[in-house]
Amino acid sequence: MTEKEKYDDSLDFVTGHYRPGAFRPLPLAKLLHINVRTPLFRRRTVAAACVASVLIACAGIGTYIYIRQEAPAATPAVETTIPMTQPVSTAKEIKRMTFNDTPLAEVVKEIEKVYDVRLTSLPEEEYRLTLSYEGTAEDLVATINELLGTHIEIEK
Amino acid sequence: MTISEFEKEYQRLYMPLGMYALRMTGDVAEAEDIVQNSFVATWAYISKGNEVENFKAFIYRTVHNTALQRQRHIIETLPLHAQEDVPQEDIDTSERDAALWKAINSLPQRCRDIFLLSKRDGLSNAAIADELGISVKTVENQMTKAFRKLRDDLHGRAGNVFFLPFL
Repeated sequence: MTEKEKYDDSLDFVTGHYRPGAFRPLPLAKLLHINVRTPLFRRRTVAAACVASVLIACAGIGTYIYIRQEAPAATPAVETTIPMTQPVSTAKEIKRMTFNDTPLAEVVKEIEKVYDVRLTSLPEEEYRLTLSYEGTAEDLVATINELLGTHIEIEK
Repeated sequence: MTISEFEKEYQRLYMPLGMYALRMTGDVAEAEDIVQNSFVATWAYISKGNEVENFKAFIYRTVHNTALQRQRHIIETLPLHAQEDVPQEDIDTSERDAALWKAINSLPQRCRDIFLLSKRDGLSNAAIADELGISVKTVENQMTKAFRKLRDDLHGRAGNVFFLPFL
């Protein structure tokens, strides 16, 4: 047969039997009833594992942050316990402070005394604070601002 | 042979083997069944630690023998892969058939419909135009497009002159 004759023969044969969707191979794993770990499967598995790890890490960090800061209250109060620590330290030194339904003005005075800092941008409203805290002055002020919605700053 | 290598061969040879089995059986569903069973049997053979020197020749023989068994209702047989190799000419034919089948698959829907109405069902261009509610000119254009696409997909095997729509 010439090439043309072969081609015509194939064309007639194929068009005579053609069915859309026929001769599409099943996934091999399904055909053989096995777990086929192809490179694509491995890449997808690794990608899925990475995404899951990131999500779990983010969830863990988020949970830690939430627990550390505690749930914000509608009124400016968070539970506390402990007596005041010894005075005079820097803003970056870690100290433990506790306030129990303490007026904000007093809180400010104590923070300034303990950390040897000066706080500015104090709110005019009268807040009361209930808080047990261990950390730097910067972190404490930031926490108070988050809890009360204030914008207190440490004077540089 | 690893499962990944086997899968590559499976994807590559499935349709040509399907065409080969179709030539033997004349039935699409039967041909697909034969090819699937052949791959399953071949994997079972390989996974038992048996070596396969020429996978392509092996799987073609398996498909051939499986098709023969079904045609002749043979109960007791030699191993599926035994007997002589399938002739290269038949393998070439199956590959050409597969290329054409894929090319028809890839035609746009309407173009394929018109092409099949003409080539498979033997309708004239006028009859196709009438059935589909389009002009004869459109039918002719679609047929030209189909033939050109099939030619291009087969890398110009049979040359331009054989793709005129009025043949």
